[in-house]
Amino acid sequence: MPEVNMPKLSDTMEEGTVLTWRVPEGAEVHRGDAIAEIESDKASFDIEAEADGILHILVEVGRPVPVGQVIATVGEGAASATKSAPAAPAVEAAAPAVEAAAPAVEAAAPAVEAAAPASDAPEAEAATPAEPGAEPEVAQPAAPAAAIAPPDAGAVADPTGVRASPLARRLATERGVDLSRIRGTGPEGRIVKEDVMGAASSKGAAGPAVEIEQPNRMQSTIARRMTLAKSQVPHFYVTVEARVDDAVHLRKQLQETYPEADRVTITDMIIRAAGLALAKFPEVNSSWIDDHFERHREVHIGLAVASADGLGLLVPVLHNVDRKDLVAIAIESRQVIERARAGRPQSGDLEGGGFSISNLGMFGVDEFQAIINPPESAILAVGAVKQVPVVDDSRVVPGTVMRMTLSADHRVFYGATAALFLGEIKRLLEHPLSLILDPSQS
Amino acid sequence: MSEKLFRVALREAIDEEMERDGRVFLIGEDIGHFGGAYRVTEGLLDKYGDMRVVDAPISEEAIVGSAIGAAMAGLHPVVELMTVNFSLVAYDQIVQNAAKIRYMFGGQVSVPMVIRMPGGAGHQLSSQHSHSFEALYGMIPGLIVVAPTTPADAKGMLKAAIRSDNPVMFLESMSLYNSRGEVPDSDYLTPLGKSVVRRAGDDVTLVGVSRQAVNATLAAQQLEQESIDAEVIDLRSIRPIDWETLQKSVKKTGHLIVIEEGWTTYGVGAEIAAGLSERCFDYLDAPALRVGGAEVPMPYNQDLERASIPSVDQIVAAARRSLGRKVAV
Repeated sequence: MPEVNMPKLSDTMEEGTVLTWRVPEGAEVHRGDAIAEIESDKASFDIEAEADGILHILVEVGRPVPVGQVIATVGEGAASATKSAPAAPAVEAAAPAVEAAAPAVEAAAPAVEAAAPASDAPEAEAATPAEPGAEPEVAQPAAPAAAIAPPDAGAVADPTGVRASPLARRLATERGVDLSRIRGTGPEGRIVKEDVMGAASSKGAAGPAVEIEQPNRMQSTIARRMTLAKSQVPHFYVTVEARVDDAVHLRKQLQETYPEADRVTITDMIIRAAGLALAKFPEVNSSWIDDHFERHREVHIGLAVASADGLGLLVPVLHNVDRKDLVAIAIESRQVIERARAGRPQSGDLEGGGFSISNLGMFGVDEFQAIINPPESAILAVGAVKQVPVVDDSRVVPGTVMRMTLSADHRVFYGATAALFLGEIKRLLEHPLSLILDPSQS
Repeated sequence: MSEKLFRVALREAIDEEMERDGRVFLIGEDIGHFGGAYRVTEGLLDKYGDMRVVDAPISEEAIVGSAIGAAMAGLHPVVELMTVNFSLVAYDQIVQNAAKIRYMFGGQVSVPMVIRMPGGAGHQLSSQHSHSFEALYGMIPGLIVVAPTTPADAKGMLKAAIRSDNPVMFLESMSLYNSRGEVPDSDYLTPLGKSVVRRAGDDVTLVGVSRQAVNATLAAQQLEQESIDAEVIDLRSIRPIDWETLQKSVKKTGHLIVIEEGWTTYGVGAEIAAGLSERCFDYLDAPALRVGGAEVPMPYNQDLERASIPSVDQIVAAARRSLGRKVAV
């Protein structure tokens, strides 16, 4: 009986959660049917049946299970056996012989809906001034002063000396309201919900200085992995400024002349340049794992993007960048980013990166330092494209520049390599025709 | 849907179940030739004959006792006691036998029977004929105790009661027999054991027992004029208690008032107030309040009688008290 395991949807996924079963327990599924929506630490995915059969669900919705655990099986009709044989109906076949013999008289009795004996007496509903039924209404102290007066400890059992309803106490605790500082307006001066809510809102943001907010899964993962990266990966940083007048110009030309290139961005050109540089520098396209290097044969580059809700960070990955031309990279990067931001990355979209690029240029940032996303060896932080005065051939002229800072893992490669590698990216961007040539020629 | 009288809805329930199941039979005082003290069983003797509609002698103990025996032997008796007041004569049979036999015999026999009992006050029937015994039956394990308040529920719950495998005390309010309401035309059952929210509201929960659910709705309408948004729950099931529905409401409003016609002390309101303070103490913004019958034998005098049972004004006053409103318009 084929088993369905919790899939590993990304490099960092350790456990996953079934968000919904797309198919109910015991239903028939066919190979390729979406059977469940799985949430990983980064996003949610549908998983598909790999065989035809009857689905048996083994884990409940909402409970995290480790990667690899069996979450369901797809079997052969066994389910129908357990589901059949409905309980014998409670209704029994009554022996009809006797009843059937009874003549169906139906003779409507003459005294139809007329008043029945005692049932038409008037309802007792008249207003009664006295209220003997319930506890008599206790005359409440009319003067508010009496109600607000600090209750004397002898009269009040409460250890804090405050008279408050259970609900008011709970709300006060939740909102950090000090009950001893508010006046109760309830019966006998009791502090009630309204008083606490009033105090909480009048103080505005007052109350506790901090409010506890639970992170979502992605935020937890980011916190854990960034701490790991900054505490275990020895970072060093190298910054260059590249003249990108030609790159900007080429981009414009491409957009105007080549229909499929209308969406090529500077980021795409940087991805392309980094891909070519990585292919040329295998010592950069590497990882330090435990006590040895791992050299990557392929060039996969991650792109740091903010999630659509602004509450997280995703790193969708472009694969085999060195073997793709600029237009392909532009199209693919847009697709992979859109899928990731929509929270619906395809399997593989978040896997396999050996290097990352983070671009904050669109926010006007000149330069910044990024944290490496292990087990990658480096990340490139890209600043804004700016017009500045530059010295060109002993004259000050307007120029277009962009700053890039490489964060490098000093276990994997060293300063000189970093300088050369970053210099190669700079060179490619400053001579952008190389970005649209065949890789072998650049 | 069509509009029907409460007692006609009851008759339809009995009629349909008798037609469906040959084991169902009726026994009670004046239910056959006279058609029932409140005309509920009118016409059924003619239709089903005196083997299935049995006019019994005036002995509640004998009526209930023989019905228990019939139920143990496989029939499904529907007993009508002329009023709930007379059920005290059969209390021994109900408590000692009906409620316990299934347990004492380890489930080898069950007692599938319904005892219909009109009750309530308001008709100047004085101290011995005006009881509301919801609490008296509600405290007995082994019994199911229900009280419908609409014709639709009267029919659906009576049909469900007749199909139940356990003894069901079916408490009918005399005051509701001539009330009208929409009744579905389909063959339907209303589940026993479930309360229902008759009116949704955010400020205070009014739980009405039997006819007092109707008064609670009237009180809610009056409270609306004072900008108090009351939620009205028709308890319907006295045993078991539908804690889920009650808790959900009290967690929302923080204020609870239970209204019953029976005596307040040791009453249904006491049980519900205690149960909810155990279950959702931290959601209560005020002590739960009980509105119930005065602690006296029911007076014959009409004014005194009115003063002895819960009124809409009393419910309104209790809601104001719970919410700390001193207003009285």
